Amino acid sequence: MKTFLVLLVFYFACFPTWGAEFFIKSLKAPLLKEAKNGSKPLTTLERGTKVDGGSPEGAFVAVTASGAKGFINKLFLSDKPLAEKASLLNQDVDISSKARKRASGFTSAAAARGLKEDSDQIFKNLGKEANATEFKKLETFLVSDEDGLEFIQDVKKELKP
Amino acid sequence: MKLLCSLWMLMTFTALAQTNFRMRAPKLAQIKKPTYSASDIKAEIDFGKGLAARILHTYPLVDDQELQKYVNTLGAGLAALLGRPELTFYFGVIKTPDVNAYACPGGYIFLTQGLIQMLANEAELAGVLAHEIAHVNERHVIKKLKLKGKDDSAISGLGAMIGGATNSFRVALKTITDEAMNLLFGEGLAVSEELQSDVVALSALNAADYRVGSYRDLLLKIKKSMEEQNAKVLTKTHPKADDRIKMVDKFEKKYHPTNEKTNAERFKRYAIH
Repeated sequence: MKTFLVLLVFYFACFPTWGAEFFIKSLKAPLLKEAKNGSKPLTTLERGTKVDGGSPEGAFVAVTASGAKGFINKLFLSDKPLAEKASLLNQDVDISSKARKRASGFTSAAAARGLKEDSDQIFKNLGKEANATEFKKLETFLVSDEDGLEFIQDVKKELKP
Repeated sequence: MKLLCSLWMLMTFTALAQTNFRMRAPKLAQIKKPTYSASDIKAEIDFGKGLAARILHTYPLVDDQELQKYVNTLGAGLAALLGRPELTFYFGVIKTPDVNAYACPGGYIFLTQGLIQMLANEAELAGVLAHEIAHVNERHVIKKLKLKGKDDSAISGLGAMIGGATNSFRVALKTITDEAMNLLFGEGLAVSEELQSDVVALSALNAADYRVGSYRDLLLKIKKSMEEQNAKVLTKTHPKADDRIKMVDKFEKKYHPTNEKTNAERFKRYAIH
């Protein structure tokens, strides 16, 4: 019996953990009591929060976060830490040095020096076929993630004036 | 003997549990890993800007501030739920009677006026937007054109092409943009990519408490329109409506969604004038 207990303890110590690490991908994700829509939210988790995941149940995954156990929709999870918003990224695109390297291959170094990192350069390069004015107009309609989320959750029923 | 039996049982149950876990693991792995660098993201956004500006050259935005704002607010909400966090999503309704929607790399999404006129409520609109966000998330256009931010190849090194001020770069960029335009407006993406985006759209509707069946309603309207040959472009660029409707049936059978929200009144207020 003693041997059995020792083996049992040893065995469970070596038992593979069911857990997998996930990160909240959506701006906010409700941790639900049950694996179904409309279930009582235990708490709301913010984007980037690390959760320990278990087995999937339909569209949901059983997770533990901040000591609470519940379910999160798979759609809201990523299995990698999230990349930062592109505007905050460390812009490591070294266009000029890359082009200089290439310049030896198929164009002159003088031409390569003319490279610009300004992303609006794409409009110039596309010439008349790109409508930069209309594009700028499109950008003016930008709505924040927070306002959008409140709108689809019916927290705010009307558009912002 | 007892000890042996117990151990055998323990091992068997564990093996079963491990097998079960391994079988489930790929499902968890379906939550995709980013396999692109910061320079790829920057190039994707810049390329998307160019492609969006080209689309807007052919089809300008509909001059309806309220409609544009409504589509952007709804789109931003869906992007907050399921969009790639590193991107900022923009949405535009463009002037054309065609029934279609287009997802440019980097988060620039366009819906046609013809499509908006076909929709009956916000749930249907949310389904379309989520479908397009899924294309951006999965980088379908970028993958198809094999584009990267930095590359030793002059053809796929997008970063240099975008920022380049030489004729060679301009020609290369124009060629690749032509290919992207052909992909969106002519050839279309792979059937599997369209169906994959349908599944994401259905999941998004379900997660955002919208009526999942609204997606079927929309597909039935598209099917009718295709039969009447009003949605010629969509016929070219998307899978058969029947296959997509089957996907909705399968989803409903699997997840039994019960949401009933369609926000038809709000849709009529902002989208139909």
